[in-house]
Amino acid sequence: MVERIPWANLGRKDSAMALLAGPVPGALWLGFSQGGVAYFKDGKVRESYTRVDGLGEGIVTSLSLDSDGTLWAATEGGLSRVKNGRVATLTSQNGLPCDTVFWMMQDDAHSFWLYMSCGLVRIAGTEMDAWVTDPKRTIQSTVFDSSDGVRGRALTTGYTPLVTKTANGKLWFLPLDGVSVIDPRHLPVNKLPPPVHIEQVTADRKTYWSNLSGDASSSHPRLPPLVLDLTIDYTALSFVAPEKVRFRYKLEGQDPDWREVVNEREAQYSNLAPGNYRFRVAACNNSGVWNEAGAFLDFSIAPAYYQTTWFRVSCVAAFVALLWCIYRLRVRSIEQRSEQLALINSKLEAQIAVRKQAEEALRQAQADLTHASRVSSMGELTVSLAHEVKQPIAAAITNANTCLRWLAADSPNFEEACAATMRIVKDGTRAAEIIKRVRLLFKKSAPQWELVDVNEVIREMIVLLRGEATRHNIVIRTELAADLPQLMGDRVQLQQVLMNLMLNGIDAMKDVDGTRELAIRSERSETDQVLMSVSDTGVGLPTQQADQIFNAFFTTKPHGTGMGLSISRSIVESHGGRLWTTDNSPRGANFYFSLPIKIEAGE
Amino acid sequence: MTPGDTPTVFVIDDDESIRHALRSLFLSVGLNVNLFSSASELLNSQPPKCPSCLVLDIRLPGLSGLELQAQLAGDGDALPVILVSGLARERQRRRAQERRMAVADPADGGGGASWCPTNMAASPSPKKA
Repeated sequence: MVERIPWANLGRKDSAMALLAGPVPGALWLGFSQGGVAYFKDGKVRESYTRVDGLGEGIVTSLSLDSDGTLWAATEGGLSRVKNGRVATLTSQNGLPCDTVFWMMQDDAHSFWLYMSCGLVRIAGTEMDAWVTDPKRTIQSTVFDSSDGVRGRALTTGYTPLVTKTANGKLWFLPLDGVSVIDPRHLPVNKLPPPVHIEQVTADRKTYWSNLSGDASSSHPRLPPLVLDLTIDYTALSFVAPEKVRFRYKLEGQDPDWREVVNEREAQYSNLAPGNYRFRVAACNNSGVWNEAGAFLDFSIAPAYYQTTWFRVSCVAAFVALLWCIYRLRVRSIEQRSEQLALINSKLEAQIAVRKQAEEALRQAQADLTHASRVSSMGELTVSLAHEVKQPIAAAITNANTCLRWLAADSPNFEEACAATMRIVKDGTRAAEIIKRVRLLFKKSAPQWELVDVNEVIREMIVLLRGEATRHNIVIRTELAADLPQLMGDRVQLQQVLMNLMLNGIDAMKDVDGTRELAIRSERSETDQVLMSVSDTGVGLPTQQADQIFNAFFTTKPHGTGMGLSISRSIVESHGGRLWTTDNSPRGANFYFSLPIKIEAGE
Repeated sequence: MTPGDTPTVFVIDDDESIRHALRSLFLSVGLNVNLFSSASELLNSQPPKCPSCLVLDIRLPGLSGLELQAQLAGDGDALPVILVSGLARERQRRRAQERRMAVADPADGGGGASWCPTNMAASPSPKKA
């Protein structure tokens, strides 16, 4: 007679706690003891909803269907609504006083009545409609509990329906004992908004302010600094159901939103910062009538010394002062370091000055030596030089005599006289020129760098030394390259080099028999240098000490100073050139010196 | 007057200005002059006529004046020789005089005054230069 369908056939291990037949024939809803609802039709589960789908968790104690097919499920985790496969659950987060719902019943005025673990809760139909539209919304509800005669029910076991509505609109339901009835049309309404008072302010278990006058707004308690725990006691007068008075309060300056509490008459705050605050509190009676004006209390918490502005300013000032001190110290240390450096610097400068002086003295000594060597060489030439000067003078005197003769003749020959006079001028000029050159060589002057024609230097030197060469029966031969570029140098010093080399050659040939020839050549070398050579047919270089001839004080002559070649080499090197020697064939020595061409002639 | 009739003076001096000065001087007194820059030039040349007189620089490059005189004397020519040297040392001067050579210093003294027009009446003979 009875078809038995084991729960396992429905895919469940637990058992259903609620059973509800729907409008569709053969279809019913099941609510299960371990949570979840299922729609059963034609022997199969067609729909199933659990916590995962948004259903309230825990046991499903009752089910009810609206006329439009909306399923309401009372669960341990709130009131769930299932419509067209969409599930939403009304919980304490939406403003319910608690979560466990035993059943739900709608009265004739479309208000929802929920029998919950914390009492009988009434939700106005408009509120519920608003929640359906926005499931995250907070709803307003009225709670009827033991103070209203509502008997509690701790256990959730039972059968559906444990509540029913009679034709006169009263709701009948079964608590643990007896039967209860409520007439939704005749609910007691308390229309008096509860007057609110702020009673006292306690900080760290010490009362700082008590409301003696009854009006808190006129007083302005000041609290000491560093308040840890602040408690503000307030109350609302309600003689009907004081335990149902709800409050909402807000500490302006601290709370962003209102806090709402039921039957709590103190607000607690911790670690409030110093400053001014306004505590506002509003209350609502058991019938949901709010005293929106409420009461407020202005109070302030004094700052600790380190929380005061002047202290912070002082700290900043002290910090700045510290930074300033550090800065001054640093500057001082840098200044000291600078002074030390300046001292070291001045010492170094003094040393450099001393060194420069020494270098200058050395340079001077070198110049003096060069000059002395030159003068010494010239001294050896006195006889030849005198001859060289006397030669044009002799010619001039002869020419003068001749001129007189031509003029004194019976028929004066003015043409010849004139020619003789011209020669006198020439001879005098020549003598003056020689004296000038000799003077230049004797003169002690700072080196003068100028463009020098090397061949001209050679020719001038030959003029001065020709007499000396002739005196020793030596022939001077020149092979001077034409078109040699001029080069930068000191004319006198270059003449000194040539003089030294030529005098050396003359000296070397003084005592030899056979050809005595001093050959002087100039040419342009491939490496952009001017190469000059002085070759003699004399005794040649000392075989053993050929590499020493350029050393200072080295000499093979009985009266030589040994400075000539040494000075010559330093002169050539100071011109960026080179001085070296080779053996001449078949006899004698070649002295070469090369000078770099720094500036082309005609530039 | 042909060159052959007048005496010719051979002047040997390495200094061109001296040579020209002497040439002009000898010409001014009506003597022919042959100029040579060195003794070897004289020896290598074949003068058309023997010189009447040699005027030598005592310091000639190559063969010196005294050596040339000795060489010419060795050839048998007893030429009168005047050595010109402003720098002649006593020793050379003595040696020259031993060989009966005159030594002249052209820079020595201003004998030219004798040819000045105010002294025109004086001896017209040339002073040896």
